[in-house]
Amino acid sequence: MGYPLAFLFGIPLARKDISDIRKWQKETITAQPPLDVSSTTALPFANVSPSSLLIQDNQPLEIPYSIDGNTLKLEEPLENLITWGQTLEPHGFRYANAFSFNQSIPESDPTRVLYAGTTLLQEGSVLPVELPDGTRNTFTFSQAVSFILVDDQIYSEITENNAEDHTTLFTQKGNEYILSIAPAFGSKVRGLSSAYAVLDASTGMIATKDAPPEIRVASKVVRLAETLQGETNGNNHSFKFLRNNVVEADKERKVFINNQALSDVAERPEERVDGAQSTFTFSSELGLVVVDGVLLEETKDYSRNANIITFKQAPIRNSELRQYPNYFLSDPSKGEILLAIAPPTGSKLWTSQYTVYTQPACGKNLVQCFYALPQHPMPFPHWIVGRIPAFFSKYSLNDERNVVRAVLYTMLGTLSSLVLGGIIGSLLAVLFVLFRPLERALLPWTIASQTIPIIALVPVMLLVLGNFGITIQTSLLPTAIIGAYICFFPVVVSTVKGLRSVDPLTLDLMKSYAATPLQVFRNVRFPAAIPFVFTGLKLGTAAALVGALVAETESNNKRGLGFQILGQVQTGNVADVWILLLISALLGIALVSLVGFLQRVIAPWERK
Amino acid sequence: MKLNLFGVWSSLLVLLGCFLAFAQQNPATTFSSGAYFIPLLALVILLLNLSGRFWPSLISVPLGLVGSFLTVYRLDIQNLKGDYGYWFLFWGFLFSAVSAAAHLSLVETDPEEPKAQKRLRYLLPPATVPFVLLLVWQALVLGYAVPKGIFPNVADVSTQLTQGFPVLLSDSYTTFVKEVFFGFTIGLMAGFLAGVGIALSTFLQRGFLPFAAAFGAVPIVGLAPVLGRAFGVDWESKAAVVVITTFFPVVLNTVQGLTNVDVMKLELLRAYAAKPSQIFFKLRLPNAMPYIFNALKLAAVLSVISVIVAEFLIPGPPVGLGQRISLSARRGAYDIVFAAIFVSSVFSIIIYGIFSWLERKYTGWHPSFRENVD
Repeated sequence: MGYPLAFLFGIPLARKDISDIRKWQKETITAQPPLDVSSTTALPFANVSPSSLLIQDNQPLEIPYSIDGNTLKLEEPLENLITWGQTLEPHGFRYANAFSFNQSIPESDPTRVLYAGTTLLQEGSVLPVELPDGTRNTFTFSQAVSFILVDDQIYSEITENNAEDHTTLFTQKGNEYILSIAPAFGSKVRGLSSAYAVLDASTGMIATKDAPPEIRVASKVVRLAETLQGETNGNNHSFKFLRNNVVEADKERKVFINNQALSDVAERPEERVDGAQSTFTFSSELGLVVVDGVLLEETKDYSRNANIITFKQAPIRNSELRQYPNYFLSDPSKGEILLAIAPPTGSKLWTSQYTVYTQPACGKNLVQCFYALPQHPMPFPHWIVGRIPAFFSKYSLNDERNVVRAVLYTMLGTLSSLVLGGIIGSLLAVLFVLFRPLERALLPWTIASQTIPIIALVPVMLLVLGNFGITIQTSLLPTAIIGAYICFFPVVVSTVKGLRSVDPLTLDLMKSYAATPLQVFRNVRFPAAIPFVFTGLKLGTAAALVGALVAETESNNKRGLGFQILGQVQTGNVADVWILLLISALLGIALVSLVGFLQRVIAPWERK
Repeated sequence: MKLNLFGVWSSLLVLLGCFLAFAQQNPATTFSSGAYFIPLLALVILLLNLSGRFWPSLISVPLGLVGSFLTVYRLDIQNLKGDYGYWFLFWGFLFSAVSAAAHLSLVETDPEEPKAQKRLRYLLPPATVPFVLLLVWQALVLGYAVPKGIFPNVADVSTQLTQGFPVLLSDSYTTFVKEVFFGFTIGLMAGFLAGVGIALSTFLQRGFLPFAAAFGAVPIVGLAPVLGRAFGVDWESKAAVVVITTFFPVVLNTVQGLTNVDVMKLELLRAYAAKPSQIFFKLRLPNAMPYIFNALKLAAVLSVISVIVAEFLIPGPPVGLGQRISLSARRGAYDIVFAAIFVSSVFSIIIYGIFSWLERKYTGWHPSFRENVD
């Protein structure tokens, strides 16, 4: 039953993850630094194409070269090939393969270039297929990894030498990696797949695959940039990036004509677009005019007088009117841009950095995305079962958040509401039976009282009770009142029914014995009513439990199941929410059977 | 007719309050501000009660209510806190009205009483209660000068109700039409079909019913956030909450109604060689109707409450009565909270009323509708 539900709830979410391009993985394409800087005439790169462009300091380099495979052969040696920056400090004895900037660094920075000696270090890490849940210690990676990084700790492969002095180790079986210590729930687990990865951005620590003697930052280096596709013949405005699915809102995108940087910042008109206004003023005298993402044509849609634009037809109210003075990303999915000025013949249009969406972040297909969902609304039952040991041992018995204590607290709240609701309900019922007009006067109002959503009244009630010094932190009274409000109703209805269910012949008999009303109540009506009262109490128990949970969710003390459920919902641990829901369902069933047990103790003559 | 002693004592209490107010020199309650009609009203009520007849006693009920209303009103317009005089006046008038109403409905009846008089006596208590409740609320809040941010008074709530009526109506559209109606329809149909399936197959009865009972025990407070994660924060997730709250009562009651059939009737139909389909449509389904209507009435009220719980716990776009209540409570606008609660109660009473009417219409033959003899 749980398994189809898991798919029913999970698949739409997975589909949303695949189809929404904003949830895809991003890749930033930058001008490539040379793989090795030992030679000043032969520069090896990762990928060289004939349209590539050699740049330095965001300027194209006008030096002749020939291409030999993925190596550029310069005809004359290049001066200022590289300028060295900071040298990284080794971390020390604990991790031989950790180096530190000694200052905080950005988590990912495509312009960061590190060299070990003269060899380029590539940054890269892969995420495991599974998510850490606090108990899992086996992770699968899509490619071979040299180290496993858990938050700011490095797990190294177990060998004969390190088995005793390390605690953070792993053993590899195929593409499964078994860790010596299970990472905590919500921790960040990665596998080091390239030459280095950032270990701790706040202290500027990186983890490298090997342990080179020296790692240096290249502050300036010759790079190989991509040129944009399209003819530069003086009237072509339309160009295209080499890759599709360009990220639209990307402040770091850098496009140049020769050595002049272009920007895609849009200008807003000085006037409001109110539907009537058709003349707008911009700050620059040239640019592409776009309304709600649609490019307009000059002379056909509007006429321009320097920086003042007059529309033939006023744009509709609140539409987004923008002018792009340099260029406009006309079709991000195809990577097409439109330039305001056509680049002159022979000029070079190139980019040193832009970001594209590569593939869905969750996986290649629906099944992978389903398994990769960070929070399954309905986890598989065996996941929930697997989570149980960790869940129960999370907090010690001394901690207020311990689940056993929470269950006891909620049970206490439920029982006190049940007692209060039971007393109020049965008293009202007795009064109703004694005084018929009272029933006529109040019964419609007790029904109406049940249509009031109690959760809405909880904040008001807590405030009012707080004024008298009674808070939910110190007293069970607020919980009891809220629960009693919900559970008194079934008690009233059943008890009235029970007190009335007396055989008329018995009543006549009592009358002929000249019994007082009190005697009639004690000897006839009460015994007859007891099964009905308990039916009402059983119905009321479930309601009282809901009342107690509602009261706890609205309060801010850490005790009780209601608070725990809300807390787990907020941290997003749905498996724990389901455990808590099962516990509260079991608690409800247990309390109902407790009431049934009481019934058998109090009215043993009913047992069949 | 016996004398209404409580009514007499209450009007004497009012007169005592007038003297107290005179002694305390409170401008709200003394004669000096022109409140001569208060002791006059008390004297009239006293005389009416002393007469010991039906009609004068009946008139003293609205007069008492008017007296307590005027007491509260005069306190309100002069913007004062309640003193002893005020409380004596208010409770005196109120008790005189309540005791007259109770006395009239409890007193020994004359067998030759006119029909109109009997009907009036029957309607008097339910008609008095709402006025009493509203007056006590207003009197307590104004008398103790409770700030609006802690507990609103009736006038504030009614102001919000009239001013914000269009907003509350559009909220009700989201809550009742989009969420409750949609979810209720789906839950009802699914629950009925599942109930028929379970009732017809012993296998499902053994396998599914305990599971359904256990799943029905999962509190909606915890389930709502999980559903919010599955269906998004818009109205769909709240409709899903309604589906679940409707589904389980309908399933359990349908199964009970279809299976809890009189064996004698069943054997009679068998003796007539009735086909299973005939047994189902002629015996089982009519037998289940009262159970299903019971479930519907229960589920209707429950689903309104749980949809508001869901709107509380799944904060989404700020539409819907639950969201209105939750947002207003957070910024201390409790007058809006009560106005929204009022609207939701009215709607669920209407829904409950519609189902009761349908029940009476379609299952009026059932023994539970017979006039029960006490």
